[in-house]
Amino acid sequence: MNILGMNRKIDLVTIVTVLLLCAFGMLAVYSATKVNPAQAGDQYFLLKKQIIAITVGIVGLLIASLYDYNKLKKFMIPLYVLNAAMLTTVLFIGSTVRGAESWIQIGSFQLQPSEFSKLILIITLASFFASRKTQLDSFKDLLITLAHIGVPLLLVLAQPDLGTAICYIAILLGMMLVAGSPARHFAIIFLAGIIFITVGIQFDLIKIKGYQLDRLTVFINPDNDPQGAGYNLLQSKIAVGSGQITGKGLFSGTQTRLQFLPERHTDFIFSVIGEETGFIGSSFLLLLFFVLIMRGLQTALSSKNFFGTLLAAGIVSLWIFQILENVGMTIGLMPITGIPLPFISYGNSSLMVHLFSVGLLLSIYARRYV
Amino acid sequence: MDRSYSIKRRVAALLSIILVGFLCISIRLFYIQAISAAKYNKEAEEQRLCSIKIPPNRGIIRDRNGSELAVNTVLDTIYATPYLVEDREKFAKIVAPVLKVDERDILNKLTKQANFAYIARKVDPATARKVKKLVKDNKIKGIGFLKESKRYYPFGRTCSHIVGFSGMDNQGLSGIELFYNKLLYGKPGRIVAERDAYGRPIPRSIMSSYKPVDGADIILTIDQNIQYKAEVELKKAIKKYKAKAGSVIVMNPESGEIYAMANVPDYDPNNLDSITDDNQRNRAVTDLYEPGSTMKTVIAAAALEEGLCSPSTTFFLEPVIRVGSKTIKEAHARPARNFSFSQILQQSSNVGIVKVGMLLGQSKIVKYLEKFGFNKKSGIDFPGEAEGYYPQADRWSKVAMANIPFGQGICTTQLAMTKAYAIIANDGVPIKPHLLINARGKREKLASASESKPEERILGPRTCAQIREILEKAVLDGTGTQAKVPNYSVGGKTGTAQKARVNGRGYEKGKYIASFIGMAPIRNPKLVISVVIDEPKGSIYGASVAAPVFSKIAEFSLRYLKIPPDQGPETRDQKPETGN
Repeated sequence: MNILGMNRKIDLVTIVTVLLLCAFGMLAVYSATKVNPAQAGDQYFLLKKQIIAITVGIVGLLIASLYDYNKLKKFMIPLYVLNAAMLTTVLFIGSTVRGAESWIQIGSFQLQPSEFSKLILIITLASFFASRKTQLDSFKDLLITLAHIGVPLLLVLAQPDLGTAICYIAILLGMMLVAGSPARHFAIIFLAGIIFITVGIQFDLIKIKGYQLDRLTVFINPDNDPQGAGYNLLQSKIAVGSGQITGKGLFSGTQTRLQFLPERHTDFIFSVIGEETGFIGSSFLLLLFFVLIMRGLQTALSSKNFFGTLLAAGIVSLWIFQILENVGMTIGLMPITGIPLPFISYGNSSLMVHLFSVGLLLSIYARRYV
Repeated sequence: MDRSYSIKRRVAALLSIILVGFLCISIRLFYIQAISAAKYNKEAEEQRLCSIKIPPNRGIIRDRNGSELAVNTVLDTIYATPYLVEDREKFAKIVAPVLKVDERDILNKLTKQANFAYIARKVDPATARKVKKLVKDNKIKGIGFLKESKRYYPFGRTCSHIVGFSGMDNQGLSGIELFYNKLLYGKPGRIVAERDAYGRPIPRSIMSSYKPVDGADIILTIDQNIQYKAEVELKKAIKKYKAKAGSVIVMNPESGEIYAMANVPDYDPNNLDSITDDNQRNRAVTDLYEPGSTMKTVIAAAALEEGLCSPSTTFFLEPVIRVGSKTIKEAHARPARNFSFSQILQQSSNVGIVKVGMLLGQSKIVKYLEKFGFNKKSGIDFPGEAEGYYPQADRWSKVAMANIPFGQGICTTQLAMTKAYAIIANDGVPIKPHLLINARGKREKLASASESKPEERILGPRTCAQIREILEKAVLDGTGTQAKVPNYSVGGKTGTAQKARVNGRGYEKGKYIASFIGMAPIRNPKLVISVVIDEPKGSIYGASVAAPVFSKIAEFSLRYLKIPPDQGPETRDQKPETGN
């Protein structure tokens, strides 16, 4: 085989970066859960599940990278229907975690269809935009676009899963930007959003719960709710801040070990890293993310295929949003939402979906001259 | 080509959003982890480190013979971790009847926002067992038990005023428990350990610790047996004469040691609810009274010391004497007659002592009152001692001369009065009355009574011997005959004082304080005993109410202390040869 050809087909930087991120995540999850009283007995319990999910995810990544992503374009309608069906199913048989019916139990594994729906939405939106080529300027185009995203959006809001809904919006905006939607469309979406939320809350159409509102607003004033959402933010800032420049050392974070830090293996995993590895470690993590995103953008740019460009742009948009939102909320820059940190947070579905996405990126990269 | 150019532009737009996002995150991260890191680090430490105080064992209080007057017992304290208690109403409902408290009280304790709440402290073992069983049977979570030491007073009411009592946190609240609290308490130990978010200490996380130093054991001058006898006799007299209150002091005049200090009403130190303002006072130390005729001894001693008269000096006494606007009468009316100086005291003549007082003059009276220590506290190691009061020389009214020589118009404590008689018993050398023999820590002696050194002599031994002779005669054929003790020579003085009105204007009609202060054996006194009975009814005189109490306590104490009798049964009624 031609080594040079291999090299040109495989994005090694992305692969190494993703593996490093997964390793980072495993260490953090282990640190966060090794003294979890809920998993009495086996201190590796959640780490093992994390490793299984990563393994499944890497297998999926390999399959996706070998698969010609262009074939996905044909499956737009079946995928769209599958997505809607999945999100509808979860409303009926889903188990409730933290106020949202978003989980489906399969054996000992819990799957979160809304995580998978993000990637499916990226694929269907990309095929939709690609199929319309340059005809995206009219108001009608916008309406069809909004209708496309509207069905899954309302379904996740019904769970209610606000985090995923916001992710959808991020995906939509990122892809519209790259697809070349005119600026007025963004303005219309922005206005429509405000009207939708105002009217929705006014007439009780959006079932936004008290705790969700608290979490959204508490980052502005943590003293608002010092026992609830404010407590999480305060503890997160204490953990990150007390890590200082060099950190307290891996597995030696006191705020993590003594369970002051809430949701430490899922939503607030970045705080564990901040506490134990300090500014140096958390900056290194951010650097890895930055490299990954740069590679994603590079892939989007290098693809000669509009569908590939849009697919890559959608994936990158999702990552950027999740990373900035998740890290931002742990340090009081962003409202607190239940959005996991890609590759790092514990969570089977999230890990698998992001690894599959990397597979798609690699597939796009390998076929960039087609 | 055009499209790819515009895609590049749009991706560049996306890139700039990314860059701005990452820049914001990095700056914020640097702010939290570098610039204000110290603040967060401090907050983290405050959260996770807890300092647990380990109380030391309180020192034991013993009497001079080693009997334990105050000890420690270990009892169960029931506490809750409120947020762990699932069904609070149920817990309150089933536990309230066992603890004999109101359901709502327990519920209130549980609804407090805290990791820890006491449900009941230091409950008796039977109750603790019942609660433990209830908690187990009903599978109630969040209820815990811990051992706490509680003060226990084996002799109950006996000595209660002297020993005092301590509170829920083993802090001395009254008596010796309060006065020597610092010695008795010791030094608490401390453990600094990590705790988790739920406030639970983490095992093996101890960062620093030091052990508590137990409190010192204290030995008192009190003799439990004399104390008990004094209380029994005092109570009998109080009951017999339906008196309001009373006190007895038994003191060693040579060393200043208090053997007994009894008060009625008393309280049960093991039942803090029984304690009131009225029954918890050690009246002998904390309450002022007008001593009455027992003060005559002090005036007489001053006159002898000044050489103004001798025991045989004769005074002509009218039935009454006018001083200024005031007419002084005798307690029992008598015709005009000659009294020797000695007889004035023996018969407790008011007219006579006023004459002696006038002979002394106000400045000498004040000088001797000061010498005897009536102007200050005795300095006993007991909290709340009252300070006596009498008019100073420059404010001395004519009425004062008509009052003070027989102990009215002057306020003092029973202890100060007892100390004055101890000076006479101790050949003129004052000594500070005290309650502590010593306090011993685990290793070293922390305090002892050595500081109670004899003070400068204020009366000549001859004066004291003369006064003692007169006091003996007062018991033999004067006012104090009921104070006699078989086989021992006894001297003493009665007192029957009118009680001043609370508003300070004149005296209460029909309310008296009957008292007797005496010493034995009279030639070399080993004991000074004072008895004060407040508002006796039926009989009101020190001679009839207080003197018999003295006799009983003195007889017991002298025999108990194995003080050799100085009078055989055959010599008992013989009058000693004196130059009267």
